[in-house]
Amino acid sequence: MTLVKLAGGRIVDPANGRNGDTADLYLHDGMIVPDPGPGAAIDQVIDVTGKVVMAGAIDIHSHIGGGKVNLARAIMTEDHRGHHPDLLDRDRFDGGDVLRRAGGGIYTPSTFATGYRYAEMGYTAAFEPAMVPANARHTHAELADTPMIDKGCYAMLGSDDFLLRLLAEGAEQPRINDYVGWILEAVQAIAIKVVNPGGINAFKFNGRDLHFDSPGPHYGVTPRRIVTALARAVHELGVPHPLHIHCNDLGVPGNWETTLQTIAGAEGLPLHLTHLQFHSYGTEGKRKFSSAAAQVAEVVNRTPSVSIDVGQVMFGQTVTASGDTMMQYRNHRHAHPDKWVCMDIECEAGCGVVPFRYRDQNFVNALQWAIGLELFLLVEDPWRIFLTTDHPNGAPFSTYPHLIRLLMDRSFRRDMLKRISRPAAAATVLGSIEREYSLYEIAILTRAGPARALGLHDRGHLGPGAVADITIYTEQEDKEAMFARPDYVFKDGRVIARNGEVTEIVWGATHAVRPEFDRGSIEAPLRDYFETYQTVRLGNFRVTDAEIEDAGLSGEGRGRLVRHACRRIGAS
Amino acid sequence: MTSERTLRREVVCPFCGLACDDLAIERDGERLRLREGGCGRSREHFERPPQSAAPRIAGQPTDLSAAIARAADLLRGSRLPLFAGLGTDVDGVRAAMRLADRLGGVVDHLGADALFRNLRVVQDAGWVVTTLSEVRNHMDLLLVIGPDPSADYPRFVERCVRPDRTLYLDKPPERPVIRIGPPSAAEAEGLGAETVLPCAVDRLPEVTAALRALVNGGGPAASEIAGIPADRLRDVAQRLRAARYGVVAWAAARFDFTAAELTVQTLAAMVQDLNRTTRCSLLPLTGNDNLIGANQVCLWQCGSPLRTGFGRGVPAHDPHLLSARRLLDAGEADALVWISAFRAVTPPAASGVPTVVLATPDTALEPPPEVFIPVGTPGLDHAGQFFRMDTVVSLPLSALRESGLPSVAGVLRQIEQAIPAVRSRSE
Repeated sequence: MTLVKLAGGRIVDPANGRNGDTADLYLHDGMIVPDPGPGAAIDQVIDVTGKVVMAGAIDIHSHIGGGKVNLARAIMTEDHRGHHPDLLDRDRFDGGDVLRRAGGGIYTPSTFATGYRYAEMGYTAAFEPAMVPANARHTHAELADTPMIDKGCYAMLGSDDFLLRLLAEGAEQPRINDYVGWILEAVQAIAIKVVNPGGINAFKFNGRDLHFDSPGPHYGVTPRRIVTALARAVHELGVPHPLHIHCNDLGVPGNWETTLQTIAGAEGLPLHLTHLQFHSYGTEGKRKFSSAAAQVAEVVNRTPSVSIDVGQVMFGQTVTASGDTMMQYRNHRHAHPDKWVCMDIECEAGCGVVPFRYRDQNFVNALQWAIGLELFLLVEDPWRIFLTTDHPNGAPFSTYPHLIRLLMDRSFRRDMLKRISRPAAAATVLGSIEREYSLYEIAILTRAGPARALGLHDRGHLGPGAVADITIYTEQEDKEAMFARPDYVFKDGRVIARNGEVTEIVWGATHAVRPEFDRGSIEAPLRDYFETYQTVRLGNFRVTDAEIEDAGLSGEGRGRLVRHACRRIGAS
Repeated sequence: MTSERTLRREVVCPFCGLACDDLAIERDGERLRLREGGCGRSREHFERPPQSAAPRIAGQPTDLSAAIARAADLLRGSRLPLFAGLGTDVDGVRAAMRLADRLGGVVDHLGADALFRNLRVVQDAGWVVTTLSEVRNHMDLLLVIGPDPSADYPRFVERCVRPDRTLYLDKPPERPVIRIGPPSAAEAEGLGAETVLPCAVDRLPEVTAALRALVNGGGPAASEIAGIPADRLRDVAQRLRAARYGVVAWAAARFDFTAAELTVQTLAAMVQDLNRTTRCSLLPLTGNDNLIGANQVCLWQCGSPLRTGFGRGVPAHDPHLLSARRLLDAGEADALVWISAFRAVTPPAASGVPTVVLATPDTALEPPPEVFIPVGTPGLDHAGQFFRMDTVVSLPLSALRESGLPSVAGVLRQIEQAIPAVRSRSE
């Protein structure tokens, strides 16, 4: 294996407290290694003098694969007429696995295009945050066809009949923990997501809303009970990432109170609130729609057990794809173009796909844009906030460089603010916020923070022992240009992109946790549940390690599974 | 060959879109026997005696490597190779997609006419749909439009319509079943609808339009529609409105009449209307020969559904222009790769077009194609992945015996490797 030296870069590595000091970096066998000292045989020196060196970026919440994403591709034919960055390259057929595949799409990119676009921006990992357990085999099959990046999935629970039955029967917490642990293992997930707790189930009984303390239909279980049970299960199992929650009442004016109820409902247990922008709405003003970002940020700032990602909105066409059938049904009247799908899924979950165009002259859309930016700028601790657009729901992930410029460049932000609906501009405090993110803080939001939040100890930093996922930029005044086209992107120590162009096709790993749980106590009732009520047997529901490791074309060997042990906390 | 008998449970059946996974299959040497679960169709396919057939070139037996070399020769000279049939597992579809991408080909599936009757509606207007376990547990009214689907999906009633108990009831649920379509003498043994409103399949457009109007409180002035008294249709509309979780099912493969997608669109719009006040969902009955899996792989790999071509170097989709039948009839395709690994399906007549057939050993081929490579069946001869009709659930297929037959994915991969690496499209 070769020893590579990246010479003279400015190291921006918040996990190791390094803020731009000039140093060499050594790569060996796909890893970052200590300075081998004088006399070591260096095989290759890459001169990166004065360039900014960061770890590869990690997207903690991006809908990149699985049933709802593929449904969105099927519906959004508009996105696949003409949006083909992966044009035929007549020289690309130079044998075997370097074949660069045709594809395209912006807000519904094909799997290959997804990997290429992320790599071009210096991202080396992305996590699919809403895998329906019944759809796990499909989701992993898509991710097996997603090149360039590491990936992983959050299993969706909280409207599944098995859990609601347990809660309705008054099951003890250890039993809930066993079920959650079993699901994590069975569907090869790295975390647990809850979407509109109880609400997807309620919609199947024709419930059109479900508030945090309202008992759901049939089972009579409240969202509060679901949230506390799942947050505790995730915590006690020792899963690194806390319960990842999409709160009740998404998009409803006044939902900031639900958000605060949810934070309180976690009773101090760790909680990750996702796409918080969609949950920070007030009812002030003559349009009865206002920003509550300040109130929400204030509570986030004083609640250290909480982390968030924003789900920033950007203007233009996209498609919303969510497990939240209740709210997607409610929003279907805003569909643009006017077509929409809702699907109930396997007594477990659901999905809704609604195309949407965010318009800068529309008061609500413009204020959504401002609310997201307010959250970014008002939440103080960069270790507890992550950069997302909830791809594709707020905007496609390819808008990240633009978003980073909005955060780093106050005058650019104010120029953009002048272009939006004037009543919306008047209803936001955005123009008065002076804060500008530093490169160091951006590196926290996009690298060190997500890696820490997911328990990926050897990613998101540049210390010895880290996987050599590295992005190197030329610092520019225009931060959008800087972050759109890094000079070099390394994955596992290999150069995969240069100057914003993919140069080599590689396959990342799939990350999953392996919690400990009492298999005996949970598998018997689960087996009976599957045989009595479901149309799939337990043995076929489960996705085996081999299915991921052998994934892709026979013999191509593109699947790799990284299993993360969990340290169990508390009761047996 | 071993004489030991082994019994395997929770075996998945890949012979219709229900993909039942509760079969028990006994292996006796290379013979398989269905011991539990399953249906007449699964018995026929699982118990089919294994055949070992040699590959053939122009009807003459040869070895696999010679057949692969010949297939590669045919394809490398082709300007528009057509990958059709596509009855194979997820890996087989992946391999076909890769080769089509590389060679500028087109992919289509033998069941795609029915797929697009539904998919075009989703692309134009969307719909509200459900999955098999939701139907099994939640449904309180079933309306089937068209012929009795039991022949095509033999265990639909047993598995989804008439369970012994559900999540919400400890006894068999009371579930009215209504069918609007051609009468069937075997109704009792099939769907078992208590109410059948008889009408010819090609009159369904006007009947469903009237039903939608009645659901919305309007209705036809006529006293009968296609022979069905308006009052009886009004009663169906009333029951849909009163149901708490109605399900409207149809098999698009049986909607073989002009502009059938408009009828599917009427049903989709009617169900969207019903959801303003209650819950109701569509259940498209489909998915034989892994049609759904083929479409899913195509969607995720290139962003477009089946009937996508790579001739321009980017994926281009057109459900009419890129149908296999049209490309062959118009003489536009100049090579055909026909794939049918689940059952023997004879390739379409393709006079003058060099044809490579990857199909089960018992496939009738007269006249013989340029190349025939017998392949194994996923779930019997090799492992794989199969999508159920509801698009959500996909199931693992296992190897149950050692037939020595290669997989579609394996053969296509070898063909690809036999095509020289650098190939200019301008040749």
